[in-house]
Amino acid sequence: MATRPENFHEQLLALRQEYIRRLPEKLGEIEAEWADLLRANWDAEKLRTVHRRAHSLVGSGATFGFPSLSDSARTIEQVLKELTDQPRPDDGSIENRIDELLMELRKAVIQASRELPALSQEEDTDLDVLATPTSRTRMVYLVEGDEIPARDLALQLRDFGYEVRIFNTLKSLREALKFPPPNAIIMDILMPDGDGISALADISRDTAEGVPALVVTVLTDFEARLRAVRAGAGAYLLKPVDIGELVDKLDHLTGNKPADPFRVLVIDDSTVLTEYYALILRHAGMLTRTCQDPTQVMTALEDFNVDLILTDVYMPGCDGFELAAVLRQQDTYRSVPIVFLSTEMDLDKQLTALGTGADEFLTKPITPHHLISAVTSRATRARLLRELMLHDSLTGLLNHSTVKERLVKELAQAMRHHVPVSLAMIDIDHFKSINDRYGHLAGDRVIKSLARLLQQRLRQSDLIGRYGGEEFLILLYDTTGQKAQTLMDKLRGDFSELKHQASEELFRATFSCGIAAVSREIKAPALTDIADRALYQAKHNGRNQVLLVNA
Amino acid sequence: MTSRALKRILYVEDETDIQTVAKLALESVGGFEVEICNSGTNALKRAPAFAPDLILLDVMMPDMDGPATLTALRALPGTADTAVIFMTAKVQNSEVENYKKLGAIDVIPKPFDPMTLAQTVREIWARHGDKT
Repeated sequence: MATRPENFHEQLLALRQEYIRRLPEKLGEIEAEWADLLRANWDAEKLRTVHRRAHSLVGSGATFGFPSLSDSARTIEQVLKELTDQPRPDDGSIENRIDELLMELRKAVIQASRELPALSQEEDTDLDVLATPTSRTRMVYLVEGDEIPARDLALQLRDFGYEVRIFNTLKSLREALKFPPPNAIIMDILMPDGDGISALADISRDTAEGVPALVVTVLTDFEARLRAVRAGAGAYLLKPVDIGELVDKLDHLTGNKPADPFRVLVIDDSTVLTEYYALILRHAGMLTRTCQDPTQVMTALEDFNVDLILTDVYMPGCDGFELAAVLRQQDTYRSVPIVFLSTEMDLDKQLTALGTGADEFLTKPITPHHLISAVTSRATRARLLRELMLHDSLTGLLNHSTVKERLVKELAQAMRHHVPVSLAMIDIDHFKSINDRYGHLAGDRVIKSLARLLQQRLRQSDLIGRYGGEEFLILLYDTTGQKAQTLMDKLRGDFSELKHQASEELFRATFSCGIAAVSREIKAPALTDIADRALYQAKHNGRNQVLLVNA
Repeated sequence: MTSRALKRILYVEDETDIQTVAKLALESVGGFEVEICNSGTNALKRAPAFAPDLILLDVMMPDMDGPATLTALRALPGTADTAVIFMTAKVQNSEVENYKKLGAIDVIPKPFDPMTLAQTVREIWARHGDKT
């Protein structure tokens, strides 16, 4: 029964790493429960819960080699123990003391986390999250009766930046929901201890704001879908679940992409009215600019990146119809929605306005609510259209021509500021065989999941584009070649672990990557060429690897 | 209780982290056969069939704690006099004595060191055998 000692050490190390990985979550639970205890007016049962959590850290910390963790937790445990069955001291001293001790505990957890193998750029981010709990991690509760598929899914979701807690029963989920809710719940319908949809219905009834939820199931019948909709589920996915689709829905439901406020230009010769409309729109969270002289419209539009123009019809110097025509003659403003606002009730005149390039005709006086909803719906659709024009429809990344254009600009800017940049070119290995063997739909899913991974793991400031069919171009801003290589190699490893869904089976894919690190004055086409050659070399060397070249 | 070889250990512990590391330490280093139970209730169900030589019992568990589990185990014919060691974070001498009075042969302080846990258990078992 006894295994070789080196094997034991290996296993112990693995357990230890797993323990470290889950420490932030444990810390988060204690902190959340402590906050809960304060809100719950010192409820005896909640006090015991916090006490038990601290106790469990005392027992496990030093066993896994973190004595300071055990020590901090022990002090918390002792302080709480003395408080059991006592009235809450009303001078705030206990609150301060526990807060201090939790800070100590947090430090011990951060210290322990540093022992995990380096994760290049992400490492700092992880520690940031620790430093300010609850801020940026998106927590998902995965409610699934089968342990093994649940773990598998959780691992994949973590690659896309979600923290996942698995619940094998509805009972354990209900317990957890007594504490601050997660950002989303993924629910299986057929749970060992009940019906998942009814549980969702209960949750949406019991929580004030509701928790975004999506259903993952083998049930294909309409009735189940209808029940899910009625229980407030935001999506309904069939098993085996496609990870790309799941992440898509989760991103959407958890509002992962913060919306940029709409930018509206308001034109009316009456100062009072322009200010009034602008005020209403600003209250709805939009950015506004005002203009009282239509002949000055070009100046007003400068550097504004306008989403929608709201204009009066009858103005001296140039009326609304003429203004629309002038704007429509310029490529930049050809697709910007123009909304007319006037006392004009005559249907014929309104139709004329629409004919000259206006998108909508609103009649004064208008209620604030009506104005906001008309502007919002027009601006939303216009943005969507613009997205479609600049972005690749399959992946949502910048399309070939846009990324090429942006590369020129950003490279020039980096050169001016002497910022190190690296250009990475990625190509999925043996993509043609993937298509041949598993079908084009499966191939598309592979492309989408790589795109997702890049979006999730790279920074907002990095330029990411779909350069060709299975080819991606990435400009890493303020990143040396060495750093870029570490980062891309981590992504390469993680991508090779992802499982993709074909009709009958799951399969894996890999990519090769060439990086050109900029070390001198260079133009975009030449740089792209060097990255391309590095990629070719990486392919030649056997694929599934990252090759760095100095440019 | 006659002195015999220690082979089968039942470990009762609610904490999954500790469960896995203890199982690894006792099986890999000690060469014991280990069965894990995650609660006192669970232990009462599984102990008769597993017929352990020794039971390691965590003191602080929700619902049914260590001492309560011990009392209940004593009422079962199969475990009426099976040796029991408590595992606990509290190690004051007076408390150790109290646990012994309840019928435990010894107390192992938590957190334990996975490298030496099996050895500690062996030593306690040997001392216990000498006394009987």
